[in-house]
Formats: sequence, structure tokens, C-alpha cells
Amino acid sequence: MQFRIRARSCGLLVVTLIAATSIAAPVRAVQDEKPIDLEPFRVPSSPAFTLLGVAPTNIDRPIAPRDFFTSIVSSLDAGTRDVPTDLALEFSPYWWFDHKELTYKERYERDPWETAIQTFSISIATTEIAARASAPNERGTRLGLGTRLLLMDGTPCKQVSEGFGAFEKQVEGLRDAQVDVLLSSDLADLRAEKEAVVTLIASMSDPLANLRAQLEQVARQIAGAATVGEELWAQRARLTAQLDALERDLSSSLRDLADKEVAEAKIVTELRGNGLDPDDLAGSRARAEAEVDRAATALRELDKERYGWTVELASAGAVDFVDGDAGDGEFTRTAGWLTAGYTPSTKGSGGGRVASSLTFLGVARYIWDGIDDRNDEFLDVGARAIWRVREDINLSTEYLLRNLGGDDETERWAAVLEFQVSEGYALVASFGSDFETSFEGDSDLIASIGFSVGIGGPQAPVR
Amino acid sequence: MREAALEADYQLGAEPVLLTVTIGNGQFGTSLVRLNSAEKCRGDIGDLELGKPGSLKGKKVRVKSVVTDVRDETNRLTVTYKLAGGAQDQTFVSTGVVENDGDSMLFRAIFNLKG
Repeated sequence: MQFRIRARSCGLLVVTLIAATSIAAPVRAVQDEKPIDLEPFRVPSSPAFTLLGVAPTNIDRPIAPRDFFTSIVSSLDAGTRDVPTDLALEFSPYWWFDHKELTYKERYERDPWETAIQTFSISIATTEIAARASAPNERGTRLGLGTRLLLMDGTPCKQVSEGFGAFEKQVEGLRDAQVDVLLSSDLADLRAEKEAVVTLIASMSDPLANLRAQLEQVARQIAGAATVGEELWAQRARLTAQLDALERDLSSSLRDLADKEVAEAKIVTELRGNGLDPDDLAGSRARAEAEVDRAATALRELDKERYGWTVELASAGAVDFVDGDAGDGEFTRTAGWLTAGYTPSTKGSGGGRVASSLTFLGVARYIWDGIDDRNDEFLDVGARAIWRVREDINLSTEYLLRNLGGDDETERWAAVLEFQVSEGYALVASFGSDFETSFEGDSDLIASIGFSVGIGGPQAPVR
Repeated sequence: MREAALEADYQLGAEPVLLTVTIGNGQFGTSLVRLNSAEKCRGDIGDLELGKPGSLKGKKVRVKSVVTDVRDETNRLTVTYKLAGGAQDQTFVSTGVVENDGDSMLFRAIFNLKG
């Protein structure tokens, strides 16, 4: 939700409460036929939803083709040709399949083509269309289809501090934590196996004693007999073979036990060295798993700190189906976005490259809106420079040219100060000049102070 | 932590046996290899020489891998085991899906080396 206070040049203070895009409205909500309102310098994460002006609360994110078809089929009304009105799908086809040879390291070595196919996502949404003045009885469904991809996604920072890169340090931290999980698991397995071997060795004791006694008895019979029959020699040979086999098994088991004890002792020493208690394996394993979770989260966060070039493309189109009939569609909206960003790198405290506090963004977007025969068309181009003054303060300046080359070409510029009060909450102050058509008969001066909720929060991943 | 297990036989040949463990889908994993109980290697496992056929007969190669989902795009995890140098090269694959971003999974594999 966004609360905005806009001070105009005439001194009039207008307070508006704007339903924010970050608070989701149900997909089934009747479509409000306003022009598309977009954030100028961001490619929408789900272009289809943006083009339709919907923010569905429940988005299906199929992870396999089967899930996709299930989502489609379950949204259709049986026996009709009607387009479903509550569809909200987002998926990345590349990740529908396993990529067994795609290693973690290759994540940072991919070329633009690999980046594009790995980040290519599709969004599909439908929404119910409200009745129009020209055809008050018309009810229908609007279907939006959008695509989005990255061509370049920057380079992760490798800050060197105290001799270790922060990134590498997190990687090593995660690896160490994973090793602790493995060792805890191995120790539990080894102890269980050791117990089984001890039981096996114990079970050999009686048969061994029996065989030795039998063999001694046969030996005494042979020693006391004047003539030894074939049968007695055969019995001795058989018993000797059985005893040898059992002794071999015992010897092998004892070696196995010794190996396991050596391995156990090594793991115990290592776990103790890592601050874990080998006598409390369940607790140690739980602590190691918690550390894996923590290190993974830290690594994922650090991975987002990028420098260098980012290039992102998106497009979307909308088709209206009168009365929801799939056979009667009319193309009503289309849009395309291109953003290119560059964050210079700078030398970190320990010598490694890190992202500087400056980011430059360039944007081009085209939108055609043919709903209700409006035939609105505009092409925006713009640029923005952002200076991260502190972790919680951003200062930016932006310039946007609308309807480039057209008779109604107009421009907007603004300087914006954002102060992150807490996660998801920010104070935003803007000053500048808006597009000429923004406020008819009035000045286009922008002087606003706003409180943003949910801006800059994490985007929904494509899953 | 979810677990997946795999057990298979591998026929020894005339050459030393090499093991490669690949963590796929761009995820991050660490493996620990034991020959019977003795640790052979840990970390990334690539062309790890397990030994000559004569010394391997009847032994078990135990591979454990903890794989963590570090990618926003997918929760799928895969571990591919390649054994080479035996009667023929063989590949074994173990897969899994974690419920949440950042979750981990333990993959176990045992290969019985047959002479």
C-alpha cells in the first residue's frame, strides 16, 4: 500500500490513498479500464499480470509440463469453449527439466544465450472484463500472455576482506556446514554398523568354540586309534575347512570393526574440533543443518550483490474474448520493455572487486492500448542514476521522454530520495517535473513525500 | 532434511576405477566418499581414483552428498555418479525436490564393487 502526499505549485495539498500493486487483488476482480500504470524503470516480473493490471494472490507455478497441463485443464469449464477467468500461471520452461551437468560454478560462467534460456519465464493470466459503454451487455475474459528474460545478469561481488573473499567465504561456510551434516550422518551410520559388526562377532563365538571342540575330539580319536578310517579323516578335513572359513570371517569382521573404530575416532575428533558434540548426534546434526540453512541464506543474499551489466527484456500481449468464447478473440493490448543497467565495480577493502554505490539504468518501453478503441500508443525512453548513499538511503535522478518523436512528445524528470525505515517500509521524497498531460491546467511540478509499504520487497521467484 | 538413497553393483575391469560426482541444476553440494569405512575424499569429486581393481574387489564405495537449493529458479536437485575404468563406464542419477528455497537434501549412494 502506498500513501502519497503531493504538494502542487498552487499550494494545494492533495492527499491520495492509492491501492498499491504490492497488495494483491483477486484475479476475478472486474477489470478497471484505466490506462496501464507501470513503474518506469523496472521490467515487470510477471508482464502478463502487469498488462492486465491484476495482482493474483494464488499463482500456479508448475514445475513440470504435467503440472502445467493439470493447471490448464483444472481451470477449464468442462464441455465449454469458455476461456477460464481465474487463470494465473508463471513458469520457466528451462527448469521444467533437470540439468544434470549444470554445476554451481557454471552459474557464474554462462554466456548471454545461456542466461536468456535459463531466465526465460512465461506468465499467463486471465481476468473478467467489465461491461463497456458501447456494449453494456458484453461480458468476457481478457487473456494476457507475457515473457521475460535476462540477457546479462552482472557479476557477483568477490569482496576480499581479511584474506578471504566474502563470496568465497560464504561458499566455504556452506561447504563446512554441509561437511558437518555429512560427518554427523556418517557417525550415526558408523556406530550402527559397528554395533552390527560387534553383534556378528559375538554370534561367531559359540560356533567357533563348537568347531574347535569337535576338531579336538576328532584329533583325539585319530591319536587314540590304531587305524584311522577314511570317514574320520574326511570329518577332520570338513571341520578344519569350516573353522578356517569362520576364522577368516572373524578376522575380516575384526578388521572391519577396527576400520570403523578408526573412522569413528577421526569423525569424533573433527566434530569436536568443529564445536559439535559427537555424543549428542541428533543435536549436532540439527545444529549443522541449521548452519547449512543460515549459510545458504547468506550466500543467496550475497549472490544478489552484482556489478557490471544487466540487460532485461519483457513483452506481453492481451486478447479479449467476448462472452468468454475462445473462438472470438480480439487483440487489445501489447507492451515491450527493455532495461539495461550498469553498476561499476570498485576495489573492496581487501582488494577484490565489489559493486560501487552507483548504478545507471536505461529503459525503453512500448505500449499500445486498444481497449475500447482507444488506440493509445506511446514509446518511452529514459535513464536513471542511483547513488546508494548508505545501506538504507538511496538518492536517484531520472529522466523519461514519452511519446518519442510524436506530436505530443513530453518529458519528465525527478530527483528521488528513498529512506528505508525497515524491511519493506520506505520514506520517499520526490522533486521534479512531470509529463505535461499529468495534471491538466496546472503546473507539472512534482514535490511529494510518500510512505511506501512493500516496495523493494522480494519478487516472487519463478517456480 | 529429506533423503534419497541409491545402491548398485559395479563390475570391475582391468583399469583403476574413477568416480565423478556432479551436483546438477546449478545447486550447491558437498560429497564425502568412503571406501568401506575409510574416507577417500570430500568436497567436489571429479575423477577420483578409488584404486586398482585387485584392491577394490568386494568393497563398497559409499558416497554421501548434502545438496542445498541455492537457486531461485528451481527446487529440483540432482546428483550424478559416474564410474569409469571398470568393465564399462556407468552413470547413475539420483534426484529430489525440496519444499522451500534454501532447503537441503541428503543423497546416499552405495556401489558394490564386483570382481
